[in-house]
Formats: sequence, structure tokens, C-alpha cells
Amino acid sequence: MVAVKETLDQVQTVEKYKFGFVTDIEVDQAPKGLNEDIIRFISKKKDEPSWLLDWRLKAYEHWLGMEEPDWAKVGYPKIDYQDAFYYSAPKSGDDGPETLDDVDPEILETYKKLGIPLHEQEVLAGVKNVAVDAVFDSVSVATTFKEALSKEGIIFCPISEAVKEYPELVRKYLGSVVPYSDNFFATLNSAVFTDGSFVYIPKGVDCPMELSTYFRINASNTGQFERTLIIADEGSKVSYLEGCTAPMRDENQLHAAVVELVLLDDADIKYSTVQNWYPGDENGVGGIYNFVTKRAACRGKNSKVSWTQVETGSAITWKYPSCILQGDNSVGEFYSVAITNNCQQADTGTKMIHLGKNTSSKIIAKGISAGRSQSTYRGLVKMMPKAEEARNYTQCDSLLIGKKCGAHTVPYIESRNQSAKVEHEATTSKIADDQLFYCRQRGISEEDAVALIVNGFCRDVLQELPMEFAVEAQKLVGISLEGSVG
Amino acid sequence: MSHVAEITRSLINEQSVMQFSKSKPWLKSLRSDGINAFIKDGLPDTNIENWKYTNLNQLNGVTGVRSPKVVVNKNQISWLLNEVETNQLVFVNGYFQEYLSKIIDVGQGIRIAPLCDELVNSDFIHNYLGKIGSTTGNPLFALNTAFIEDGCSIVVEDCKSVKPLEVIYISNGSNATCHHPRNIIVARNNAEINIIERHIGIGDEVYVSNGATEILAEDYSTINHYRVFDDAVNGINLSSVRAVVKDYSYYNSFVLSTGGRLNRCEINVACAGERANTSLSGVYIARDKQHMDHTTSIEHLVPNTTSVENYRGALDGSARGVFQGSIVVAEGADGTDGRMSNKNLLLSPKAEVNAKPQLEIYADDVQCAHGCTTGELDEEALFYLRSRGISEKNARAILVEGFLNEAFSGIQEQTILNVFHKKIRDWMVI
Repeated sequence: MVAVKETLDQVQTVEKYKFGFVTDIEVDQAPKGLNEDIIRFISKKKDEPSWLLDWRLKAYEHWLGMEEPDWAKVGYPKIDYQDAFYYSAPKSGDDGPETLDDVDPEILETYKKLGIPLHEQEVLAGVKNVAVDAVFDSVSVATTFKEALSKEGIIFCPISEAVKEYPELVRKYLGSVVPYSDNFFATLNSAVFTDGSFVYIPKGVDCPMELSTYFRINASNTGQFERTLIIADEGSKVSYLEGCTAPMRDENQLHAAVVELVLLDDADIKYSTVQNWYPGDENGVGGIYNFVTKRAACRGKNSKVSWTQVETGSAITWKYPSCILQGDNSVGEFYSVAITNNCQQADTGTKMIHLGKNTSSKIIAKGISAGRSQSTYRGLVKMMPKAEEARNYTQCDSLLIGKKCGAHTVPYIESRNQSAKVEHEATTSKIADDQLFYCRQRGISEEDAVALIVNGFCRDVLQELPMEFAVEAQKLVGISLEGSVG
Repeated sequence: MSHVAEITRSLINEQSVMQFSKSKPWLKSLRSDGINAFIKDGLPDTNIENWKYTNLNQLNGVTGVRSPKVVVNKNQISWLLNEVETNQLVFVNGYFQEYLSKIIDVGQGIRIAPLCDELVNSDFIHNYLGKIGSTTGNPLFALNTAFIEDGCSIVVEDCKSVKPLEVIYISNGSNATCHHPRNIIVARNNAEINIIERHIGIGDEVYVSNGATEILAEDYSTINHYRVFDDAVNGINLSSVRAVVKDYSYYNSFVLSTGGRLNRCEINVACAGERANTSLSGVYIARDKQHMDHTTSIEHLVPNTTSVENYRGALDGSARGVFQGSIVVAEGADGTDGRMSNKNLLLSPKAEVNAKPQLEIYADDVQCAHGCTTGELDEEALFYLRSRGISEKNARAILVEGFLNEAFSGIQEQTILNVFHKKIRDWMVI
């Protein structure tokens, strides 16, 4: 009964928020542009302590002196950072469709193929009238979780809440993996982040369920600058899912998130992402610029971090989930599938920095390019002088579909330890005609055959995904490549 | 101003360019293109992607002053190919030395001459010089172009050269001066030639040898280009090769780097004709504080071209090895087959290796692959040899040699192969 009451309370607050949102819309939206006042405004809105505001301002000041990186193999018109809202409700939340009938049938078709139930389809499409319902659902789910999670002492809440509730934890770890001065987009994020998740898994706790940001992103919709912080204390274990299946029909929109993972002795984090932001239309108009900094610090001995990502969306992806393997015997893994079609561009990979003894890392990256897209794997494996007996194995394979696309591999291998072993291999090829022929002569349509072969090509990575995601990801693979053959 | 920019300034010695007052107009304009391109780009610093791992700070103190003409005694030269008769050319500080060279019976259709003669006598070389490599975006090649004066010029017409050509470049350092030997190798249709190039240094003063070679393999031709970098302790050797390979032709390059304080060996090959084939292989063995950088790029510009690349490195002491390889497949270059392999052995705790094997592919019907490893000698293999009564030193030498030998597969001639084996063995026992 307690849980039910909690849910009802939550709904009440949601209702209030909803009204507040509508009436106070002018107030809730900061003016266009980026300056110190905007940052103060965001911080005030979030009711943040002064140290966090100082940190944001420091980041902003640093950002002003930075140059946008241009080394990635992606091309896009210069972004005007003053021509954007840094605190606002997005257009889609405001003039979104009234009912499901108003939603673009193309999107609905996609959802159907993904196997997302009708109710969830409405949520994903951002239908206004059902939003409360959806939020209701989402919150009640969250509350049920909260109950079970708090029993274990696990903290799972928005980062703004964590700043207030657990300031010492946030202050200790925020920016400790990705410092405010890290890179252009991470620094921008540090200055203006508005939302995000905070997770703390206490000592020795094996998180009983998978944590997910899937719904949160849909509910808040504004998350252009999210900041996620996950701390796994000694001997703890967690699997975290991040789903970005919300399509945003909009002009090019910047999404610059930062994810920080901290692992102490014997901790284990599995971080899975299925990214399907709006990729723009077939002519490359619109789509999300996904410039994300993700990094895990294996501070403790025997800690293990595993990044799994399926990147099918975004007009441009610029993302290098990294592992700093500091603790002895720590393990870093990176499994990635990046699919680009039409005019998409992806420059993605990982960094494995081996500092401690007996550290090991494994990189499996699969890139599939179709249409006129360009896909690049860019990765760094660095063995520092103290990384005795460290190991790395890297495999990156690219598959090309069509005459106009490109697939590139840019690995950096730096070894400063004699006993460290690094192995790297990469291949690039197209779908073999005999494979395609085999499928076709068994009555499988060309498009299905391609999806089947590509799924096989990605199997090593897809099987690393948690069950719920694996099914969705497999279907996504097929959908992303639609129209790329024939 | 950064360190590297300062060195750039001291290298731009326009005075030296002006010295060539008697040159033909086309040559003057080629040189001034070179100096202008170099002034524009400057000496590359580590922010330039291709120079990420090699810092030219080491050129500190080097001036733009040309190395002087010096006399070298005949007994200071040893030839690599003793068993077979060869044509021999010797350059000291970039200048051709006739009294040390020996050109015997080159045969019909083969034109071997010092570049300085070609520049004076005819406009024949005008057809090739500066036409194969471009100065844009290649600052060192541009710097070399600014100071074109002498080097080796080989043009082979429709025939197979009977005797291999051995070229020795001697650097006799004094006061950190530079020389810029410029070479040109052209194999016309159906031609075939073997060239062995060796760079050595005398004394222990700092010098900079900034060589550039333009290579053109026309239809159905073969060029085997073997090079040994055996510079003196404080020698700095920077070299760039620009090669264009036409229809059904084969460019085969092998590089062995053992000497010098800093060695940067850059090779860019364009497979520009149908069924063009390129093989680049090399071995770098370094110790103490040596820095060896092998940067290659193979561009597949037309359909059905192939390339194989195979580099091996063994690094001892505090040596640093760099391998940057790139295979580029242009749009429409279907049927490309490109393979690249780079393996490194670290023989000491302070040795370092940086590798960047790149693939850049814009066509779909291709087969490209690369592999790269770094590690140390296999303990078990070492134990096996030791248990058979072989001393640790010998056992290590056997394993290192075995490891490096894999890069020799591109060498066809047994005599040349023997020379390289010996060089590696000599390195091991020092």
C-alpha cells in the first residue's frame, strides 16, 4: 500500500509540474545564446549549491578559450553556439501531435517493426494527450524500482536531485573522470548540463535489476546536455541501459552528453547503449549531432567495465567510450556496431589506457556503411610503462554496401611496456555475392537477406547486449539499412 | 614562436636558392615553388597528424647552410654487393663524386647520370622532375625541391638492366649542415631495374640528409628498390619517396633502417594504372635513443590494383619506433586488394613503439585488411632454445632474426637477401 501511495504522490507532483510547465513557459525558457547569466540561470533553476555553479562557470570560462575539434572524419557546417537555447522545453513538447493519428505514419511503421507496444509508441512519438499517462507509467515503474533498489542501498535518481540529496558523493566524483577542461564538447556540457542520471551502488551489492534511462529521456525530452555519473563501490555490480530511441523531427540539434563511470575494487559495470536518434532524411537534412564523451575509470583492483553500443541513428556521431585501466587486473571491453546509411557520418571508437599491471582490454568494432554515408573507427590503445603483462586484442571489421559510401579505420597503438601485448586486426569488404545468392535462392527477399547477413556480421557485439535490447537492436539493424540495396 | 617554427626559419635560407643563378627558367620556377610551399607550411610539428609521433625538435641547431663538398677516401667506402658486378654511383653530402663511382657498360636504353649533369645538358629531365611528387602538403619534399642541385637520375627504356645499380650516399657532417639529394627513377614501358641504395655517415657530428626520390613505373615495368639506412650516430635522415605505378607495373620497395639518431622514411605510392601492384616492406632495428619513423601511404586510384605491405621492427634500449601506414581506396577503385601487416618486438623495458595502420576506403568491392602487434620475445621459445644448450644471447638473436625475416618475402634476389641477413646479424652481435 505504501508503494501505491508513493505512486499517487508522484502523479500529483507530475500534475503540478505539468501545470507549472504550461503557465510558466516563458520563465522556463532562458533566452537564446550562451553566457554567464544563462549558466547562473540554469544553476538557479536547479537550486544548486554554489560549488557547482563555480564549477560550471570555470568550465564556461575554459570553453571560451577552446577550439572546436576538427580531426574527426566528419563534416558539418559550423555550429553557432549563440543560436541555441540552453535551457528550454523543446519544440516537440510544445507543438507535438495531439493524437497518434497525427504522428508521421513512417515513424509508426518503424515502431511496429521494432515491436514496441502501441501504448509505448504513443509515448515515444510524444503525443501530448497521453503524456501524463506515460509519465504516470514511467514514474510508477520508477517508484517500484525505487522501493526495491533502496532496500539494497542503491541510489538511482536524477543528477540534480543527487546534488541536493547526496552532495558529498556528487562533489567527490563529478568531473573526476571527465574533468571540466577535458574537450570542447565535454567542457560545454560541464557548463550547461541540465539533466542526467546518478547511480551509486554500495559495497558488495549486486544490483538486482537492470537500470535504464530509456524512459527518463522521453519524459524530459530536453536532454541535450545530459550528464550521467555512475559509481560502483567495492565489489558491486550493475548493468545499465541507455536507450535513445526517441526520434526528434527537427533541424540539426546538438546533443553533447557526458557519462562518467567510477569503479572501485572488484566492481563491475556493464553499460549498454542503443542509439537511434533521428538521423536526418535521405538527403542529409536534419538529424542529431551526437557529440558524446563517455569514460570509465577502473580505479580499483579487479574491476571490470564493459561498453556495448549499437549506433544506428544521428546525422553525426562523435563518440569514443573509453576505459582508464588504473587498478591492477582491471578489464575494459568495448563492443560496438555502427550503422550508417544515407548521409550519416560516424566517427566512433574507443580508448583503452592501460596503467596498472595485468590489465586487459578487448575491442570488437563492426562498422556498416551504406548509401552515401561515411563511417570511421578511431581507437587508441596505450600501454603505459607500468602496465606489466597488459593485454589488448582489437578487431574491427567494416562492411560496405553501395558504391558511394566509405569505411575507414584509424587505430593508434602506443606501447611503452615490453611485456605488454597488443594485437590489432581490421578488415574491410562487402557482402559476398555468394552469401546473398544463397539467401535469395531460398526465397528470402534481398532486403531481408542483407539484414540477415549484417546481423550475422554483428553477432559478436549483439550477443553482448542484455536480452531486452538485443531483440530491438537486431530489428534496428534491418530497419537502418532499408533502401540501401536494390 | 614554437621551437619547430624557429628551426623552420633557420632552414629558409633564400640565399642558397639564389645561388643557382645560371639555371634554366623552368628549374628556377620549380625551386621557388618549393621554397614558397615550405615557407607556407613550415617544418611540421606534432600537431600535424602525420607527424604526431616524430618531433622535429631534434633538428634544433640545424642551419639552412648547405653541406660542403668534401673529399672522401676510396677505402672509406664498402660496397654491399661484392659477389656480383654492379654499376656504382657515390654521392658525398649530396654531390656526385665521379672518382668514387664506376659506371660500366650500362647497355642500350639505360640512362644513368648525376642529376647535375642532366640539369645542365638537356631539358630531357624536365619531363619528369617535379612532375611525379607534389610540394603541397609535403613540407620536407618542398624543402628538397627548393634546393634541387644533384642526385641520381635513372631512366630505363624498354629493356631489362643487366647489372644492378648500387648507389651510396655518404654524409660527412660538420656544423649541423643540410643536404638535399634529389633522385629520379623512371622505368619506361616494359623496363625492369634493380636499385640498391645505401645511406652512410662519417664522423659523429650532426648532419641532416633530406632526400627526395620521384619514381615512375610506366606500363608493364618493374622497379625493385632496396634501401639501407646506415647513418652515423648523430645523423638525421629524412627521406621522402613519391611513386606512381601505371598499368600492369610493379613497384617493390624494401627498407632496412639501422643507423642514425633520427630516421624518417616516408613512402607515398599511387597505384594509378589498371593491375598496378605495389609491395612495401621494411625492417627497423634500433637501440639506445634512436628514433625510427616509417610512414607510408598507398593510394589505389583505379580498379583492380593490389598492394602488400609488411613492416617488422625490433627495438632495444630506449629506442622508439613509429609505423604509420595508410591504404586509401578511391571511389570507383573496385577490385582493390590491399593488405598491411606491422609487427613490433620490444626488447627492453624502455623501448617504445607507436603504430597507426590506417584504412580509408571509398569503394565497396574491395578486400582490405591490416594487422598490427607489439610484444616481447616468447619466453617459451627462448626456454626451448636455452634447454638445447644455446646461450641466452644467441637464442635471443635467433628468435629476433626469425621474427624480422618475415619482412623479407618481397626480396627476390638471393644475393641481396644475403646482404640483408648479414646486416641484421651484425646488428644483433654489437
